[in-house]
Amino acid sequence: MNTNKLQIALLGNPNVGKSSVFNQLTGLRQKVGNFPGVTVDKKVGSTTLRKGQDATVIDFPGTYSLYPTSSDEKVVLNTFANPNSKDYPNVIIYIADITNLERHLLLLTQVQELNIPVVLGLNMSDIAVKKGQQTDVDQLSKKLNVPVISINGRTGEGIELLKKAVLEVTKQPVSTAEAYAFQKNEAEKLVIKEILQSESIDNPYQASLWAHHVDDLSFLKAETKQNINTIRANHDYNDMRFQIDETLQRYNFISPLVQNVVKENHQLNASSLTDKIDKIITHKVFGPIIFFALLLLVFQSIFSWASAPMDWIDGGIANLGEYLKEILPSGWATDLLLDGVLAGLGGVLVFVPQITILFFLISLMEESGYMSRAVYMFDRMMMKFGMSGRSIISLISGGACAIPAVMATRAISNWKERMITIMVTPLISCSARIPVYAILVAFAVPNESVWGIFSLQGLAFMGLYLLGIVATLGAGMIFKLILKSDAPSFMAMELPSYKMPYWKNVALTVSEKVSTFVTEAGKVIIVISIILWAMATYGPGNSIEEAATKAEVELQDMNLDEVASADYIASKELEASYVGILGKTIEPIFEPLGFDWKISIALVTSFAAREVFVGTMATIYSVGSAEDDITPLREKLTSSVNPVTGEHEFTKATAYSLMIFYVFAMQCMATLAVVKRETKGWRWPFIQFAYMSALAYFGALITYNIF
Amino acid sequence: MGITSSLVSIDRLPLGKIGIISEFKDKVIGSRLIELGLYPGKPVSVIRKAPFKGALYIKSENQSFAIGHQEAKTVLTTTLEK
Repeated sequence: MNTNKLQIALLGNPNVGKSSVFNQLTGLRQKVGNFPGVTVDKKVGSTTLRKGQDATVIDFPGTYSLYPTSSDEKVVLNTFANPNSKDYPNVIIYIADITNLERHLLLLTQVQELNIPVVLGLNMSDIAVKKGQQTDVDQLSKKLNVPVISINGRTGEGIELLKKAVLEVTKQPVSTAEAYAFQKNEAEKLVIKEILQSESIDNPYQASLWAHHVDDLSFLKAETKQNINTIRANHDYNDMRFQIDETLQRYNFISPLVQNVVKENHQLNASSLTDKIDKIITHKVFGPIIFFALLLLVFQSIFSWASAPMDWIDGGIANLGEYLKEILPSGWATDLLLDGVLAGLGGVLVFVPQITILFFLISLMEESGYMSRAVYMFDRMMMKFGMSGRSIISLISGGACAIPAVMATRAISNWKERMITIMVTPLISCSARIPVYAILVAFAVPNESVWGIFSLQGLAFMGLYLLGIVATLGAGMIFKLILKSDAPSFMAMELPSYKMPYWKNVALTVSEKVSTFVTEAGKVIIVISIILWAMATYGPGNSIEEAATKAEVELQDMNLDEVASADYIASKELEASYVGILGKTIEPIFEPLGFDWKISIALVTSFAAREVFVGTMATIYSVGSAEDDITPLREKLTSSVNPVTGEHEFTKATAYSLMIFYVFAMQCMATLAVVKRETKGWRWPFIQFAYMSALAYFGALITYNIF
Repeated sequence: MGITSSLVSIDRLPLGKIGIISEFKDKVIGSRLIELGLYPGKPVSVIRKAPFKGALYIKSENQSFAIGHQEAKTVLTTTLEK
């Protein structure tokens, strides 16, 4: 990246339409990065200010003030309090909602004191016109001493003027710090003075931020922190008092200013529609009913509407594989490409429909303003389990697939609540568990009904789902006790007026989610699936060939048809592969759960995706060609007898033990890859894998010993 | 005549009755409310409450907000009573 390229920070309160402006400025020239050391996303884009002059735009998380109350706000503070940060901007584009000016100017007056040139963009001017509100932009610009541009983030109106203004302010930086220095109390003045003298900064407001937030500023050296703490102690520094004083003084400046420049005609009409809608939507009884109806729609859509496009992707990859098989020379390179890489790619792409649909619906809820109502209704309930009102969306989506569900936790701003949601969501039984449950329930539970209406097998299914839900909530409560929070968890938020979703934003959210999944989690998934494929295809030396030859000799006495013979050979080959050897090696670990080496092999391969368990079992039991039909496998499981002991290999106790195992086990590399991507490291996916495996192991152990 | 002002936390404010914010008992919640524009001197009224001691739906000058029940206890308002 060009270092002398202009760096622009896009800043503003939450819900001001900042991301629309970001999209207008950068179009598709944007990517998602990290702020150092935190899991908050950094959206960076590039914009052309004028021909030949590009600038980098960083979209900072929506922030109310430089007194952080969430992880998002801490990121903003840590950037703006640190002139050496690589994200420190040359210019700030500050976006404010013109219909809500008073509150939105608070942060502006704070960053103005940092002596960074600022341009103020007034968004939502169209809504202001509808409300009959008139704003004297010139007067506002004069009073605030910044260029003010009316913009419309949705249509792109005023964006060119905004760019022009940015170029203007960089040419002749306006000195803003002394424009209206907010009177500071004597003690605070002394503290600021001493910090300026003893540390290498020269901006008084920055010094004041250092004094205030010394513990929250991760870039300060230990000795600097110590120095500041000594200075604070010497002057009896009272941060809460100073904060209230400072903020109230800013409002004393802002409120009359806004009253002067904004003329409103009908105050009450503006939100009456929102009031009417909220009377129903947030009603004690109807509210939750509507919410669950919507969630049912979300669940239904990812569960069943996504299945058609998922089948197309599966089929398309299979066809492509067959086509390539014909035109490519046979050999290990082709095998690797087709069965390893292409199959892995299929394993990534197959999630795209679910991710697309879920984020389409979620961004509709966010954009319209509905999501904050859901949080209002359910925050209390979820708080008991260490989660936020938003977590409920992830938990329900987890019933279809944990991958989009984990990605949906991004909207939870409290770090602890987000981590807990990520950690427990995979305990909800997802659709990939259904084939596994189906074969096991069909094997172990008699196909009878109780009281004439309830099918016993149906009840068993429901029991497995309920067990998953109970485990999810229980794990949430335990994590709530264990995890330390970086910011206190509390609820106090704005309920924005309802508005029509802006389709371009919806589309961009969806495409951003899909592309981060494919490019970032996708890499991990492909690598693991190649490893798994290689382990299932190759064995040490020429063990595979030997196994096949031996099987063919055995077949001569068995009098089987062609399909059954092929199945038999496939079974012996898998047994001789690295996966087979690994399965036999780990057998002693799983023996107490009632799992033999055959099941152990299937446990290894189903790490690619839980439903692979069924296919692997079918291969091992020489009924691999039956594909989707589970009857042959069920019959095989019922009839197979250990040749040495003469006992049944696969008992009901084994089946129940396996069911419990699959309810709890983190048997999904794709979810782990997404958790790694969302938590930006291997630590959390590792912890998740460990605790869920432990839960699965001991759950299955107890179950096996009961039956 | 006989008009006194009394200090009531938001959670105990009767539905629809206007209270003027006067004091915060919790630093972080206070900071957030100030950021939201709910600072001492601002009028608030409770519109509805979520069931089971859930959050409060409050309004202040045509803006809607949600605040948790526990959180609401830390915000004191003055009301005018005859």
